[in-house]
Amino acid sequence: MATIVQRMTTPQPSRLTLSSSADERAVIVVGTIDSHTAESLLDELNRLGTADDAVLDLSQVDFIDSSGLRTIVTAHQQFDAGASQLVLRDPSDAVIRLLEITGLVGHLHLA
Amino acid sequence: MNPPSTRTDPIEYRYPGSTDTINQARVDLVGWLRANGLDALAADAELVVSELTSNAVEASPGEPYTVAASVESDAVRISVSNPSTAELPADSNWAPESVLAPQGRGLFIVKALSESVDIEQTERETIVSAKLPLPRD
Repeated sequence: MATIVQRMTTPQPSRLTLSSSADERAVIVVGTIDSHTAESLLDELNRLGTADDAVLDLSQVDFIDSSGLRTIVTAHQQFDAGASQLVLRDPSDAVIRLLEITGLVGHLHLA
Repeated sequence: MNPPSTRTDPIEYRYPGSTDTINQARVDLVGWLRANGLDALAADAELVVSELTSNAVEASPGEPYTVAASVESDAVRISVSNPSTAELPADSNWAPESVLAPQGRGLFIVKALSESVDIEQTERETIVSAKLPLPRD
């Protein structure tokens, strides 16, 4: 039986950096999209609104789990309902892998 | 790669029950795998532990959760326990209701990456264990 180690001190939380582009309606995502960070991504996409197409640049996502995927799917549905598209640009290997596991590759707008 | 051996000490770590510890749980598990020559399992295990710990925090926010990992004869077992004893949703293959449903992918992903997944509920806690097969040489 292993001794239980308390991991209570100074955990390093997941990091997510979001930036926008002056030239296009885009959110550029750098870092991890998980249950700790997904809400901030959804907030940023909500700020952008669904009035017109937008780009979600996923080329610098180093980790994503189902919490992140939930945010992307929710935003995808909102854009579709608003007759616009959320385009997932240049998804990283981590993103592609999760889309493949969950069978979502053909159901989202990838570029 | 080093052959897995009985020399591999199991780990059991306890974390505060909030989402800001989930990254640490992933880092700790991946570090343990790499230290034991099991790099090939790191990507799958990282995703599995992220899903299980997220579920644990969601089930019992504010309550500590535990991550245990050990090497068995042909697999790595990752177990996450939390002090929730709420009734579990019925097993409907743990699939989302439709491919674009927002919810319901966590355990589906765990199952897709694992040889087997077991859920045990006691009077004190819920323990979800996933067995990831060791890569064959």
